Amino acid sequence: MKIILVSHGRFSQGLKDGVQMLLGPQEDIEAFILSAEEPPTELGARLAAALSPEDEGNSVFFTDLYFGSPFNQVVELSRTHDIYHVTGVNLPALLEAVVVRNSGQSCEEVVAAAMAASEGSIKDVRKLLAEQVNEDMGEEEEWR
Amino acid sequence: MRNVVLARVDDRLIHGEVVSVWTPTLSANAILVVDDDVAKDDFNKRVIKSLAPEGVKVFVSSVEGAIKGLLKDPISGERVIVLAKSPITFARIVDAGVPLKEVNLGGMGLRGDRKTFIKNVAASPVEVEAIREMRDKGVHVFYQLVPEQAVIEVDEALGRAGKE
Repeated sequence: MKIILVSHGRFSQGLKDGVQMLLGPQEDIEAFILSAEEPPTELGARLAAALSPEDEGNSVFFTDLYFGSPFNQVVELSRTHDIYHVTGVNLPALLEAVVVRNSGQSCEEVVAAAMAASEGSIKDVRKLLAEQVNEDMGEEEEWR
Repeated sequence: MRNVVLARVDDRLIHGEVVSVWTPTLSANAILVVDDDVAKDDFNKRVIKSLAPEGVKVFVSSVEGAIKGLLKDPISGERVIVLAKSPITFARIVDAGVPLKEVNLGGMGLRGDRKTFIKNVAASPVEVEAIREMRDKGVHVFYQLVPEQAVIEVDEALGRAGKE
């Protein structure tokens, strides 16, 4: 199964780097960058060219921004290609998706894993630490 | 002994690899951080506890306290990941009679008198001895960053370190 990352600027390449830093070298992850100079339709043409017949029904796209140009191009691609598409990708979601993909599960399961991992993955850390102080003042759980 | 599903040396303690990869893969529901310094540092303790993944209890304990708890009978349903910054800690735990079967070397950064041991794991001479000591007692000590990667045995690295 192919995982294809598409973003405004180099974010997709950075996500790929991050995944490989954590999980080691990965096969079948491609990063596509939309630069400020490139017309979005050209990105769309590059994406279409990257899909081979065996990728039909067997590729998951991750785009960075709901209703952004990469998102729109991938939606356009889905008119003529059988693809899975998740938008608003972040590293926690992608990591989980790659792990599930590598364990040999289906595209549906990869998408579900990414969605589940993204939930609650953005945190207000100042608030989190303050909450932890309150918890500590309550009943602190000790290792016994 | 309590049900330890992973004993891992990682000087980053709780971080991405442990939270996102090892914890779900092993269905762990408790993480025990064993470190005398962290156990005394309330701020650090709080940060570590706030990193707890959903449904996972995080404990921070001194080495002595950790040993006491680990030696107790297993608690039904409990699956513990034990984390420490150095293999010396695990050698102490094993010395105290905790029958750990395996110790995973995950992350040990190059610093102080540490030298590259295996891949991105570096070990000081004292740490190499701790690894050797555990292995001689029948503990399976191995390098593996994430479950997806192949296990690398320490024998060759121990041989290399012995010749220096």
